[in-house]
Amino acid sequence: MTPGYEQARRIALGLTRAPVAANDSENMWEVMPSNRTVPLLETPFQFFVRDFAAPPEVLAQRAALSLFDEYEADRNRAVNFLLRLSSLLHSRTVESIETMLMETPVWDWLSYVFLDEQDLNEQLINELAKTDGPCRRAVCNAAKSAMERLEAHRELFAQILAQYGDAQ
Amino acid sequence: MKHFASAMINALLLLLFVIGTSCSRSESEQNEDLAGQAFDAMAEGKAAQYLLLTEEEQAVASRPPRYRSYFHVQDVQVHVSESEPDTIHYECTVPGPVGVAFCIATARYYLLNDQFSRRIPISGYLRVITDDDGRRCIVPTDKSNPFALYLALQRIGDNDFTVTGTVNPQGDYQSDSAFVAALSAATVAVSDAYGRIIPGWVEGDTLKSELENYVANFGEILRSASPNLPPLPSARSGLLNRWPWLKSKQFIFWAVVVALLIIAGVVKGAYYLGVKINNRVQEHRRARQFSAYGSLFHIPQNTLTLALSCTVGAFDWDVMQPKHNQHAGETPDLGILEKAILFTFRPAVFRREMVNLCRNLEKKPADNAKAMSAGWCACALGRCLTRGLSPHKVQTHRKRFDRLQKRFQKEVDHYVAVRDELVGLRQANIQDLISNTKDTKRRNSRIKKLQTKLQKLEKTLRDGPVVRAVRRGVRPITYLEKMACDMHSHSKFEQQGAMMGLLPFLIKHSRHKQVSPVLENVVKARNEMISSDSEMSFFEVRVPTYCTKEGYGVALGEVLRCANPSMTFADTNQIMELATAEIPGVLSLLTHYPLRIIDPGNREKEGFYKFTPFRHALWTQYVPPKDEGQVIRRYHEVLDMTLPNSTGLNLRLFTSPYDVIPVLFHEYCHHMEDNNEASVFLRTHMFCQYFYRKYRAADPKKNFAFVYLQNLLGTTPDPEKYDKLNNLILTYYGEQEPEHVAEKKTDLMVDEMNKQILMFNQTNRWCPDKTFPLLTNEGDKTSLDTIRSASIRAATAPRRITQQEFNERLENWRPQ
Repeated sequence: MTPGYEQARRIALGLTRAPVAANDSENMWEVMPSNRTVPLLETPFQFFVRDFAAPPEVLAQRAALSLFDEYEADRNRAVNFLLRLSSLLHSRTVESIETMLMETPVWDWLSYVFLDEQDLNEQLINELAKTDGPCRRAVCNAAKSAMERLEAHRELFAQILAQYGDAQ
Repeated sequence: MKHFASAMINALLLLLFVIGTSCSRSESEQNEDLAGQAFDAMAEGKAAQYLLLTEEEQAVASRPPRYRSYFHVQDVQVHVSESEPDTIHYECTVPGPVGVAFCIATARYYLLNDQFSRRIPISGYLRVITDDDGRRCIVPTDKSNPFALYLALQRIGDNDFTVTGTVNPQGDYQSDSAFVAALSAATVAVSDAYGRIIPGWVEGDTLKSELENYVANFGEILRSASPNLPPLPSARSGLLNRWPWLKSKQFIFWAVVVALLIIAGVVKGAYYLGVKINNRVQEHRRARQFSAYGSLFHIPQNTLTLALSCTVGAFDWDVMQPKHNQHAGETPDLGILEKAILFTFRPAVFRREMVNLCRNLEKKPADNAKAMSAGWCACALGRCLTRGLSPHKVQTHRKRFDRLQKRFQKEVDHYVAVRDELVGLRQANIQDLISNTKDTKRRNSRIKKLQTKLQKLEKTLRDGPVVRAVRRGVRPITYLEKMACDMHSHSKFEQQGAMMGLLPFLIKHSRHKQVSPVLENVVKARNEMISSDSEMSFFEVRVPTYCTKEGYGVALGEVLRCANPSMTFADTNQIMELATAEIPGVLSLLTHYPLRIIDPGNREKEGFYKFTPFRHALWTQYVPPKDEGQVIRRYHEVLDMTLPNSTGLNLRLFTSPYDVIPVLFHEYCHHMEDNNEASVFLRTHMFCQYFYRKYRAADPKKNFAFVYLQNLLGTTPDPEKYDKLNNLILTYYGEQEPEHVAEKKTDLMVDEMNKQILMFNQTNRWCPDKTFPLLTNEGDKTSLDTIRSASIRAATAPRRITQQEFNERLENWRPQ
């Protein structure tokens, strides 16, 4: 894994915070009033089309990461883990789920950066809805540890906890 | 440099004088040298060779001494008078007996000896004689001389020790008692020698108290032990000894004077050298800049140099001086645009050139080329007017220019009065002709006089107040300030040029009370220009079509600094290097379709980002105040937004050298006549993948179009997804229309616009005779054609690609 990819991957997963560009201070050359509502760096790349809104940050991170050669291997690994977790949830084998989540921490692969939203909904969210309490609890515990570990991009785990956090 | 040279010559003369005096060696000096060498040799125990000794004494002295005496003579001064060259007067100090005794007993020298064992001053005379062998020898004239003491101490151990064998030559003793015995023997022997030769100095009590003091401090003294004598200053080493005249007050006075002169010369020389080096550095920097501007015009630097030297005349820039005389006409002349760009970067204060620039400031030039030229002239004039201008003088120049303007106005009034009188007389003449009155002789004479006067006045008035001001050395900053603020009388590029020209000076002296009001006005004008709702407000990078990447980089930097002086932009030359390397042919796009820079601070006006085929504004040019003053004309301004680079780039794209490159590629694809947005987006996406992989420092996350397409099409775009791309483009650009439908829609739109124009013309009460022309063939045909062609082109442009085209683009994404 090249250092460039490693760094980009950590930022994309939310393990490290991305460096924040300093905002321009107010000055006499700024035409917009001080109570500006639109961030200055929001849309510098629009090719002049209507309503071309900024994409979610995680998509931007995924696009940037996908330019590295190592990305495809990471993505395949994440897809395999998701399928395995999905089948374990389906078969309701708590011990196997706990073992798997201990061996492969979710914060390292369960992310929109590697997985499509549709796959996540079908393989994880739907299976969580169908599975039993102990299995959900195992996944929620993993989500909690991920929430503690991650510095950003915790939306997916927050969603799981919000939905099934009281499963125990 | 002259001062420095003179100082150096003075110093050289002084040095020669000194050397000259030392080179003439007389007999007295030779004897003095001999005495000095003898004194020096005592420290090494080799002084016997300089002394006249008996054979027996010579034999004893030539034997190596058993104990080293550590006898070192200091503070030696020898003097030989010219009248008696064989007699040498000497003064010196010899070591005290206590220290010498301890040194002999311990076989070490102590650096603190002189502190605890008093040195003994001796003075006297020596004589120099020549022996039978022709050798020059020294003979002491009295008994108490240092050479006698030296010889006596050399012989210790042979006869003078009463307890033979007590003293260990290595200074190591088996017991304290052996050491004490050795010390006692040495003290006795040494004091005996001193007592014999310098009897007054070794009295019992004195020696005893000194010995007690030495013993009491021996612990400290011991720490300063050294196996050898410290280096002794040579008896002949001091300049003062060598040349006693150095001590004279007169010499010291002159030496101080000369030293001060040398210091002054050196300081002045260093100053001039610093100035010279600084000038060289500046010249080098200018030359490099100049080289860039030479390449801006695709003219070799030498040719440009010669051209300027011929056309400008008294140019003061060294680098622009012709190498040899050239006949005018042999070299090409530069146009006003090239000169204006050159003067922007290298302002000068030549009035002739400034007048030339003033004369090219046109009011609202219709022609794009003239507008570009006028803009750069305004910029160059701003730079020239502010070159070397003190901020304290701004107000003075403003007042002088105001006075000139008033005087000019008076002359204009006078001209109008004369002209009116002439018109009146001519009308009267016509009346008389009709009524057959013959009395017109006097009137005709008056008319002739008035005609002559009018011609003279016209000649005087040919130069406006600006040209007059420049000719008289007044710097009409106010004029440029008004130009920057007046969007009615001047084109946008002229306004921008005036701002570009003034801003470096205004920002540099922004806190000065005379400058800050001007700056405030310019900032306000800039804000109004950006905030105007015409949706046409931007800063343009207009350059000649033959501009090179270096020249374009420089011009881009100028415009960006003007567009937002508070921002830090990337090196524009680096941007251009990247752009031309990755998009060959991009210069053609940039020079034919000027980049438009917009400030996203004005994001409230989303119009900047909305695609419309054209932008239309209705302008009323008037003499202030608004709604009251005389309207000069009413006209349309239409911009074709379907052309490449027409919509404008966010100036924040230029804060990094990478961000703007994909956008330029997108526009370049359109420039290469690919008007299919789906195709261009796919090409741009493939370029982005290539570009971001090559330049890892670039940040693809900021490129939203890339982010969308990367997630939509995948890392390796899937040809099966071609329809997804088409749908995305259609969402934002709409379906392609057949030409006849587009024409019909455009005609309806123009009709609607004409109706509104007509309604305005009918209801307007402010100078109703000046109406807006209708958008018809009879009215404003140019604007009508622009609106029609842009609208139809935009509506009929294809927005879909087939799967086959998609595959082709993946293979060959660069436009051919």
